Amino acid sequence: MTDEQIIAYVDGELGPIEALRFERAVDGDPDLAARVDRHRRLRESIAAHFAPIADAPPPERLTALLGRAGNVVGLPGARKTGWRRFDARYAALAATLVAGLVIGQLLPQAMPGPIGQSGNLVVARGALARALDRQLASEAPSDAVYRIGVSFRGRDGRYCRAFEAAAGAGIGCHGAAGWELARFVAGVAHSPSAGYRQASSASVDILAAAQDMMTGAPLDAGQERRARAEGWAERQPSK
Amino acid sequence: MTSFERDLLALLPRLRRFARALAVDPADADDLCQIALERALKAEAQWERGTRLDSWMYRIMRNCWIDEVRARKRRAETFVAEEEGESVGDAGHRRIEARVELGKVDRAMAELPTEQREIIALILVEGLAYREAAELLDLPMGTVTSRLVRGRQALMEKLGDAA
Repeated sequence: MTDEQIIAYVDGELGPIEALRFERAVDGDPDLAARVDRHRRLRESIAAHFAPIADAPPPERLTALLGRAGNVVGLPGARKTGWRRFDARYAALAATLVAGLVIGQLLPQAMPGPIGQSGNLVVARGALARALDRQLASEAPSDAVYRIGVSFRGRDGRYCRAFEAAAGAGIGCHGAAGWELARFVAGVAHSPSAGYRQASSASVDILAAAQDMMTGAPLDAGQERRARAEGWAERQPSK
Repeated sequence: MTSFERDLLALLPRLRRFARALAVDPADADDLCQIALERALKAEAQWERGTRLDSWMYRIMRNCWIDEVRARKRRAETFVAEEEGESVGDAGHRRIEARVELGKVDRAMAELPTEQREIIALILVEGLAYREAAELLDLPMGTVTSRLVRGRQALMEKLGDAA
């Protein structure tokens, strides 16, 4: 009997008939039984050695990568300052959260309400488009459905604005078709057991995405006002 | 948190175990985990929904580790005399051997050549079937089983009766 056969048996890789045949052979052969036993003990000791790692809670720096820590401690402070202050945690998140948030993959073909389609682009409509057009981050009416977060210039020179509503958070970039949605993350219903507000996780994703898309600093209140006055007209990318 | 992130979070304990079996050194293992998670988050669009996320992540982590091993080898070849540079294992294993607080099993794992260690990690530590490991590593079954046999024999020799 080769080591390969013994190992295949120990690892449960034999079919039921093969395994039965193997066990019969072991029954009449103490030397073989001892070899099988050694291989079995090796498997058990290697598995047992590493098992406690999977039972231990993962360190914070790893779970933080998956958005958890950012949701718990990051957002309230960021919101107070109108999303203008990005701390290092968001910078780290920004580097990782780029892919997979494209709204085109998330939405059904024809969608009524604030989001529509124009050619191949997904664009803001109705109240969302109006909020992106008119609403200043610093002057959100208290009953506003959409809260406008950071406004910034993207690498392609277009003005982009982050927004947040109960249904989720996103980023619109102004182009020929109006406010094209560059990102959108649906919010999830409030879940008390999760220990943090799920809706906020969408905002954290968006904040990170904005950080990644922007060139230069976010617009301050004066720049935001001027850009609005100019109809959010695209500017040449800087250098 | 996206559902993708939630799935990764649920996998994280197993990923840490796999990383530890690959890298052996605990600090290296968590760094490896971090790099693999970052790579996965960037590559989310490449993951096909409905396929196994664990296999996909094991593969990413394994590739990250191979990158690290190659970088260490290059560095070792630059600084170490030729005959020394040709030893088995990755260039980090001598450092790991020198750490007394690591157990016998850790040292035995560290001394395995990378291509045997990754198979031991997938099959003995993570409990994958041979076919799953072969698919994940893009290797023929015969190669997986022969590396598994050699890896196990080496571990038995190193561990003796402790196994």
